[in-house]
Amino acid sequence: MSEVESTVVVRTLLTAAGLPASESEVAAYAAGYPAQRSGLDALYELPAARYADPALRFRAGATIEDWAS
Amino acid sequence: MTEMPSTLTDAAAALRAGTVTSAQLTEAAIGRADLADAEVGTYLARFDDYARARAAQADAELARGEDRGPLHGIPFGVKDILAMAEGPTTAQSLILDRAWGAGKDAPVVARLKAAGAVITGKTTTMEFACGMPDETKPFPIPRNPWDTATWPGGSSSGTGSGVAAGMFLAGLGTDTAGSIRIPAAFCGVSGLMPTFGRVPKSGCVPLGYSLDHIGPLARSAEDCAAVLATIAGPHGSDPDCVDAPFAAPELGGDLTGLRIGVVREHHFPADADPALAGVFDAAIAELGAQGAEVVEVSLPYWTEMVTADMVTMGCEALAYHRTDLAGRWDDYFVATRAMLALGATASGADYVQAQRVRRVAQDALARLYETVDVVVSPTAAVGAPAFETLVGADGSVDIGGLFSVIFTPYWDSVGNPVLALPMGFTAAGLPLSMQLAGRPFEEATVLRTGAAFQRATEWHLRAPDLAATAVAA
Repeated sequence: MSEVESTVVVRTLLTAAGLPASESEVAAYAAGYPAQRSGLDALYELPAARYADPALRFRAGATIEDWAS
Repeated sequence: MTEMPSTLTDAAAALRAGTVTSAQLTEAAIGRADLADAEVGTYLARFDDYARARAAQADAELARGEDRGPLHGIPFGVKDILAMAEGPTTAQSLILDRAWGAGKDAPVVARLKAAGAVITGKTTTMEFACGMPDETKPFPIPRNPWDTATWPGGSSSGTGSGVAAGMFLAGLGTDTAGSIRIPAAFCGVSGLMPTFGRVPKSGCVPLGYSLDHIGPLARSAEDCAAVLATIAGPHGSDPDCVDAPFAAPELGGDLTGLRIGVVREHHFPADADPALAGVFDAAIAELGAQGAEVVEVSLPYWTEMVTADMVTMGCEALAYHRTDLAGRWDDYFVATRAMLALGATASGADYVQAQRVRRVAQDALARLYETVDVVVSPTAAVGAPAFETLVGADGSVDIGGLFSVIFTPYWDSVGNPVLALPMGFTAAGLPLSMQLAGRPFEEATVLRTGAAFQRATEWHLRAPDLAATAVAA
């Protein structure tokens, strides 16, 4: 991924999330983006994860209890 | 002025022997803060009068034979992302609504109070438990009492520096990617990240909902055990917190029969401190001398779990912060913005895939723990880094570079308990640390291992020269 492509992708994603990063911040984040993207893509390449359930939780009937009560 | 005992355990014994009072301990703690807090940046808020009143109460109760346990009358620090009724919670941020948690105690704080702890104040953090110091914001810069030109580690910075500097005997931190163990390592103290779900995390400003751990920093493994026994246990407000009984374990005896797996892969990069290998080998030799069987092992899915920690934290934190980021971007610390932006550059599928791989890694790690009882590695490859190396001129943080020399996020992703403890020093006189990781809910095993090491060594009792620190101010 070229620097220009990374910058376009990062700027687009930040804008979509409503994050008003400065141009210098976009450039800094874009510089790290290819390595981040590569690491994330590698998570899909693990055969052992092909049929794994995620470590998520959801409980039917759950309610919110005040922690200070 | 009364000298502060070396450890919480020593202080608790002295209180019961009548050789010191809680009032004296508290005055000593306040005196240390008066001496060095301005330079070290341990506190965001000090509760001197409250602490004195609590100490007087503790002395009166102990005199009547009302003993609430080992924390009774002990000066104690609390990271300022945990709610405490005596003052607002700031998370070291301009953003957090000061009404959040006002007048309330987080469950862990309520448990400390019930145990008679003398909470001396709220301690500094990296903003919202992530990011890096930012001199443009109106908060203290946490500094390392071993060398104030260096970072004390984060994000539980003030709790680490306060224990090292003797401003309290123990404190609470939180750990999402290493925020208990990193300051423990760089400040030369012990820090325990309990098993995920061991301690209720409600009443704590969240960073990563599925990664956050609350735990102690103190001088010794034995001290950490005493704190964990106080704060552990289920609470209805935290659905992740399970009913797994923990009592302060028997920490005596050697390590005969214990199988220790030593990890070197990924932990000795080319830019490691030159002293690291020798210090680590000496620590492993000591564990062997205590009777442990030592074998070399590799951690499964190392790189993937570091990635999973980053994407999980980024996405979970962004969900919490997105509205504020959109409206108040410049009020956030520049490095906090960079960390939170990670969540915007990953997809929903990336997040779920990270949770699938976490499950796979947990399973693989469980099989490794069929062959060993404790996994040992360095906590970091370096001593405390100088401030100028942390954040680029444009405010950028090289997260990949940072976690190429700090080895903590793996364990947040899998949720196992980990004790970081001092094992020596760099040539520059900065602490080095190792981490002992156990099976889920087997904190007692890592604490027993750490206690055996600390009975044979005195690294955990070394303290910085606070007078020199204060003179430097």
